[in-house]
Amino acid sequence: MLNITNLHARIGEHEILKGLNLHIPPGEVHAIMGPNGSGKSTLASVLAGREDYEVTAGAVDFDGVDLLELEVTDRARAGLFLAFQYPVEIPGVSNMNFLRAALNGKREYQGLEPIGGRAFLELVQERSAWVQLDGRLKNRSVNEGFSGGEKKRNEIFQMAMLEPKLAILDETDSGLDIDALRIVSEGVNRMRSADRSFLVITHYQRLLDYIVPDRVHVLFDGVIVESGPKELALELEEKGYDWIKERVQ
Amino acid sequence: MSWEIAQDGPGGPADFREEVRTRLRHVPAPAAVETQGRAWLEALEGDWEDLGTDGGSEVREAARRALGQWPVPHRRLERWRFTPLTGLLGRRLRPGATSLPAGREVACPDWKGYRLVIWNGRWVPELSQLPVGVGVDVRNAKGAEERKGFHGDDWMGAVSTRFAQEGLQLRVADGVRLDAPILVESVLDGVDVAAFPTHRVVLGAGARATLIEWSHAAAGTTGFTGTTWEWELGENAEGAWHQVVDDAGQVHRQCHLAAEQQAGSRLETVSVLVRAAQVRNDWTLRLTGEGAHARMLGAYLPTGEERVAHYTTVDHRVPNCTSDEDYRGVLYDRAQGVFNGKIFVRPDAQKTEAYQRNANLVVGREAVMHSKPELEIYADDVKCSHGCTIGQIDDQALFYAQSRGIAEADARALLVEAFVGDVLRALPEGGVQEAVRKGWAARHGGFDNGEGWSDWTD
Repeated sequence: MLNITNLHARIGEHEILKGLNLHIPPGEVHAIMGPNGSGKSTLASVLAGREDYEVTAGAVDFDGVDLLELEVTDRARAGLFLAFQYPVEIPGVSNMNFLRAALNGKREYQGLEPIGGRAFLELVQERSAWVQLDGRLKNRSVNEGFSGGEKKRNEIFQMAMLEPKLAILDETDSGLDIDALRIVSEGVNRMRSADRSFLVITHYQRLLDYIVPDRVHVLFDGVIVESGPKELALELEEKGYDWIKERVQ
Repeated sequence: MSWEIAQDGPGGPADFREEVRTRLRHVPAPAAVETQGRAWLEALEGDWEDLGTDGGSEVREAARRALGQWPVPHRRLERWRFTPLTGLLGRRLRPGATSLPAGREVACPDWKGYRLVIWNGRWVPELSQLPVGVGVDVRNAKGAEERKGFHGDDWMGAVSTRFAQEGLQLRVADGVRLDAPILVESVLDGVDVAAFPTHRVVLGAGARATLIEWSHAAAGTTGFTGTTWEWELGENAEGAWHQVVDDAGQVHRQCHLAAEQQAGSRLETVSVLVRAAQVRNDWTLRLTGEGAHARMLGAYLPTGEERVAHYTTVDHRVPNCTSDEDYRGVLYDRAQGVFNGKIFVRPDAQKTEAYQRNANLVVGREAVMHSKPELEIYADDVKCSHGCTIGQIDDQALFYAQSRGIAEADARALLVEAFVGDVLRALPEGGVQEAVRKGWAARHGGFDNGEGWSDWTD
């Protein structure tokens, strides 16, 4: 599904990704952990196409497509979804209009007719229930006045509506209390399937109790320095990152 | 009602201000401008059949005297810096035709309320449907001639007063509520034509009325329209006035509004410009009775070479009044905008609450916005605030929308719609709001849904 080879990226003069390799097969959930400043969020931003970052070398194959050649919009339409660490508030744009525009954009890309109003509302009804997002939130402006937990639930709701092939969750657990963490995780688990992959970026092992990964990777100083089964996350939780840093240096 | 400014006694702050104003107003115009302006006025005087044919000769005469005394507006006058008249004053203008072409388009065809059609400054009774009822008095402002005129304030106001044609005079008696809004459809049609519609609304105590002025210039039309509106609101009266300009032709527009509000009255004004080559609004709302409230909303999205200027004054004359002003602009291409918002709080007007906001997105690389709040506060126990912003479309929001699969152009339209959405929704539904939505959609994308997102019916 996702094949990253020797990815280098920088912001300004500052190189952040320094030859990253990552392979995620269809249907798998991979977690990326790592200390602050190791490049986790940069990786998410580069994949989603944020313009602040410049890719200087490497390749990203997304389900047979050269991802780096696609515009931001087309990456999303091709099936990439990024759940933001800090979801953006858009005053005045209703959540519903926003979602319908997004969904119809994707359908246009797939050569489908725009979704009808009734079908759309039914889908909203079903998917918002997955993350217990009540009607009050659905009808408000995008993320405006939402609490931290509500914003993250809204991200997962959007993901459920757009049904991506690959979802990147960028520190979706940050700022969540235990209940919200459980709700968000249940939403994600519900979306797991044989042809959908996940890249879960997190600081804490706790999230991985709920969203159990197939593989765990450690990102340090712009490269993946360690990969292992889900138990690796427990080891990191227990021992911290110092042993990895020492080994690398 | 008097239109002069100073009221707070000899030597008072407003007195001083008036002196400065007078001096500033009399900065002589460059000889070429003065000559051009005088010639323009003389030509109008010669052509204008309305002069001396009504009972308003006193008002017209006062306007003529004012025009004789004042310099022709020029760019060295602060109030005319950004809105030069040289292009207008260089054209020989004549009254437009009075006969209607067949098969013309009607503005807001779905409108179910009342309608008054003004064609080149004249009533068109056969196309109009106006309220008839106890306590509602509708007549042609020309015959009625109770208007005060604008010659105390402004050169162009004096021009519109001098050459005033026909228009609506509406009187609503105490406690009477107009059962439906009146759409005043004002059309300019012809080449190098001028029209001066004039309107007056008087609401008795507790009376209520909503009016919409929909100005339209037919395709190929060139010329000038100078419109005047006078509003008087009695105690606890509620008025709403909406200005929409949608010009297919290239027209220079000036619109003067003067409102006077008595105790407890409320007036809401909404200005929305769909297409307009050149518009200048000079509006003054006077709060003369305690507890009066004024709310002013505006939205402009000029493209190409369009010019838009809003000069507003809210004059707090007595204690305990509130005003709230919010103008939103999105400027494309090489468009230029002016917002000059004055809040005047007189020495006695304690406990005033006055808020003003002007927010702009400058999208075009060569677009320009001049935003200038002017607060003059002579009372010490007041709450006043103003804020003007000039920025670009939010990159974060744009990226967020694109990352969800929304095309960049659609995302921009969505953000622009959100930016001016509150103003749009303040327009009356049932034909007007929808027509504006459609007009903006055609120009800017978004706003409606031929196949977009606002339409929820299958």
